[in-house]
Amino acid sequence: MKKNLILTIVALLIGGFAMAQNNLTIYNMKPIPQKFYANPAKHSDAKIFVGVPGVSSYYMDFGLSSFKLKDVVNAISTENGDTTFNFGEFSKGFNDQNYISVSNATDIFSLGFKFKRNYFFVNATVVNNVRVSAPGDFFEFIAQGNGGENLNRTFDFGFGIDMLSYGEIGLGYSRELIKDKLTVGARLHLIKGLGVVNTNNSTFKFTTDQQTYDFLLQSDIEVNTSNSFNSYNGFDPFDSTSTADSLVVQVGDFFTKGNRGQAIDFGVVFKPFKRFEFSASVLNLGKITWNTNNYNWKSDDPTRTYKFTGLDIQNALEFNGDDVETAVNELADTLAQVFDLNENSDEFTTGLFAQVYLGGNFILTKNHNAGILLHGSFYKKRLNPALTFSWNSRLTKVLGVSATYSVINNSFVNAGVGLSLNMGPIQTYFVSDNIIGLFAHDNVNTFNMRAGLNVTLGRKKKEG
Amino acid sequence: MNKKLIFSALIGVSLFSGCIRDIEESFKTIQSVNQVQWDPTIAAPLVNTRLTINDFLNESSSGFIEVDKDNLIHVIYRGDLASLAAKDLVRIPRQEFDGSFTLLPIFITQFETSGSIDLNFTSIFDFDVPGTEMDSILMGSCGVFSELTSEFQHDLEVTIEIPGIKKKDGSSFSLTYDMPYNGSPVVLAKNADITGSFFDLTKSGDKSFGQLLTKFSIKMTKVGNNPITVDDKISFQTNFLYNEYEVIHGLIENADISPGESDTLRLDIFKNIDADLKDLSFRIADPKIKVIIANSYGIPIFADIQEFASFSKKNGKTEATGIPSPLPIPVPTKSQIGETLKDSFELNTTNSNIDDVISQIPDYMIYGYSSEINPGNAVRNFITRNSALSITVDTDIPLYGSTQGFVLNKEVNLDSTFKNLEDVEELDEVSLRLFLENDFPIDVDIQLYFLDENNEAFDSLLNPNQLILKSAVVGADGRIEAPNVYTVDITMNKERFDRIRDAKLGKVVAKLNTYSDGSGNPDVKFFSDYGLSLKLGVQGRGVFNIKTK
Repeated sequence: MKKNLILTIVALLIGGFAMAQNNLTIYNMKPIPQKFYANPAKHSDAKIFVGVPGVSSYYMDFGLSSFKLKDVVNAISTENGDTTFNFGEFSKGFNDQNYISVSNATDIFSLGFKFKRNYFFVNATVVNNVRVSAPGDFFEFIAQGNGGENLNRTFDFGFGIDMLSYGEIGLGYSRELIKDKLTVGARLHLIKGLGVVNTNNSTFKFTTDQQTYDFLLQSDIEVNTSNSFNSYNGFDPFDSTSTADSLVVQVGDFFTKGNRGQAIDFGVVFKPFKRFEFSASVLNLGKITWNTNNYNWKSDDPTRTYKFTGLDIQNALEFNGDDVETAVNELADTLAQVFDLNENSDEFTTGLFAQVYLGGNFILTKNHNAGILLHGSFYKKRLNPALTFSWNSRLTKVLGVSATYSVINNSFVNAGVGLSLNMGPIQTYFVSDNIIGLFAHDNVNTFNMRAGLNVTLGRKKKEG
Repeated sequence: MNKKLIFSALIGVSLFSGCIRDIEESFKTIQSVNQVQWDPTIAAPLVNTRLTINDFLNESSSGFIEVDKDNLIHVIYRGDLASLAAKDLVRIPRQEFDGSFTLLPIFITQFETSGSIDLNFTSIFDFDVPGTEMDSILMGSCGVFSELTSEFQHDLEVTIEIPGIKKKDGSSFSLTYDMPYNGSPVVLAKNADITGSFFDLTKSGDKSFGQLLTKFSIKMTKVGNNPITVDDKISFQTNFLYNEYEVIHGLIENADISPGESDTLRLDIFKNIDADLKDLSFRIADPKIKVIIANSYGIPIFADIQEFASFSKKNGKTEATGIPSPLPIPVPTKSQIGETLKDSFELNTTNSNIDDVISQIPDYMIYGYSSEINPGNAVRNFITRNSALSITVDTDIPLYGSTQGFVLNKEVNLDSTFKNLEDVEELDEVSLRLFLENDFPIDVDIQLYFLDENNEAFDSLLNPNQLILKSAVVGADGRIEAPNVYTVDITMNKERFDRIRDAKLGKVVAKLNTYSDGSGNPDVKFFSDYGLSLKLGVQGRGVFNIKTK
């Protein structure tokens, strides 16, 4: 039982890959106001902060769920003067599902201030996420072929691409309900969807019959897309019909009409004992409804299957190259008919990569604590968990440091670091959940960072 | 605090520069790759086809295929025993009439006295068509060219009329020439199209069969004091050109129209059969030969088949019996003019030895005949432009019978097949999987031999007796109860594959025995819906080293 539980946890840890902002290190960095993105109950230790417009917070994330650069290098061998890349060896580095993910988020502005036991904050942010998924079956099919042991195996060649771009205005509020014991917070996201490619379904099943080598094909595709900029003409100074007034109308329409959404975050920090603090947050509970400029494709009949039993040669006794061409053309026509995609512009919704954080900190002194953090992000109804151990220190009034170790993205080699420098009211910071990605690229397949510049006022002096 | 910051910065710079070096090393290794090794095992269905009897016959036979109401397939070879078109029997050659006239002294005196003279006289011309004695002709195309030359030094008006030629409008054919004297001999030519005219060539008065009476009317008027002598004359030449008849009535005279020698009809359905095998037994159960005679001549024709036999290299000539003599050739009466009358007779297993004739696995049929038209000149009748006599022989070979020890050989060109595989150097092993579903009531033992440059077999695709398709079981209704299904695997390693793909030629040998019910080989039928379903799948394992530089 215990063993099964451990295996389950390990499987969950290595199976996931998030397409959302990871804030595993910043979560426990007291001096940085932007930690409220991870938990709205964790407000800044400054009474007022103002994010420098455009540079207060820049987040980027790159991740590969599967192979690392080392896997490519390890598949290369030199023999008899030839340097050979063994594709079969390389393909072993792929998982059932493989992703490349790139995300970034840029704050246009952010602001927060404390009023008695209340903290208010607001942000305007542009978020972009791109994720391309490739099935491990595809790489195994290419490397191993469909014969031999792969006969009768169902390969799924369902590639996927998901892109989400949106702008949000966040309105946050937290309140210390019980002084030094309990703080709760929430943040409301008002969202304008800018563009989306949403692969709702992408399966293309391929099975080779063990006896006859016939191919059995089945496809279920549903891809929804939208682009809010499609109806936006902009301002053309050489077009007499394009006036400043019409530009204002267009911009107004852009923000007020269509492709809008809402979401909410909740957070809590609870300190029942002097040396223990517990926290939790749930983020991005909401959705975007896409109802403008939509272009969607959906399989005509997802249950339809096609069995390819060989080129249908009408008369094998008078067989020639033209017969093959005819048969191939007929096959192509048949496949196009069987796997026809219907186009529509129906309304659809996309989620916002909901996340949950659950943390516990052991407080050694007021400026030093150790933390453990469980993180889960949800992508297409699938939980992608991460586990982080951290050491968090405020070394001086100027320097705050966090060091983390995380298990994330099938990788056990993720060491993070967070630095904050407070030089008077000017605060700059750099945080990464996997700084090793910069230095040990052979073994690491993820990297993320957040950096920014704030003006902070009313900070507490170094304690303890 | 400053020391900590500087220390941290130094560590950061050091780690970052080390990182850049590592990345450079990794990319150098990747860039040094000069080949990609790929060793997949690929399986695929290649071909899915169904071969029917029609496919086999279309590929091997020039006969045409008929399916009867019971779906039984017949291969029918059609040959023309005799063919006689009207244009080959009777042609109207170009007809030329000419002559000249002078004046008797009495007419000269009369002319000198009165200053003019009118003359009328007639002439009979032969309208000569060899081998006939014609009563009439309804002409198709026909043109007349007529030229007059006058040596008289006086004005002339000449009319030539042929009452026996009635034009389409009912009037008699005539030509009028106005020939005023102009100082030299006067020459005048005229053309006329008399297409569709009716020529009356019957015997009447002084005119016999095939003759035309022509009337000349001449009016001569004196010009000044010009002289006139008994030597002055008018010459004429009249030609009938492009003579094509629609209908001729009369006597088409007796003639021998027999061809010089016998003709042959190749039965290529049997061309790939090894007929020299000692143990071969072959029987077509119900062959037929149908002779169809079609005639639209209104003339009796006598025809007699002199020779009708099959010929095979192994068994020589086998004469057919039961042929009627003479052949029944129907003749249309005058009331049936334009019609084609038909008659036929059939040689079958009840009135002939035709099953023996066909079961010799003949290479070809031989046939010869003699014939004559209008024997004894007994009948005057007609012939039309479209009259024809044809005697057609249909050799009907139904796919109904039995065989034992029947061997088909066929050479196939493999050069182009293997040429496509030249680039496959790293193939480790290939497995072919053949699925067969045999509807035919016949056992087939098939083999493909690979031949070297001396046409010697050096390998075969299948192990001996590996692919024997047993006949489907034939039910009481003569149809198969269910097809027999086979799966055959053929595995080739690289060495064998390399060896056989050098073959430029292959030889397919198929040994066939029709269905056996335990006590013997009853006659079986091949229906049009029977076939051999064939599915070919391939699985290959290879190691491919693909050069990238």
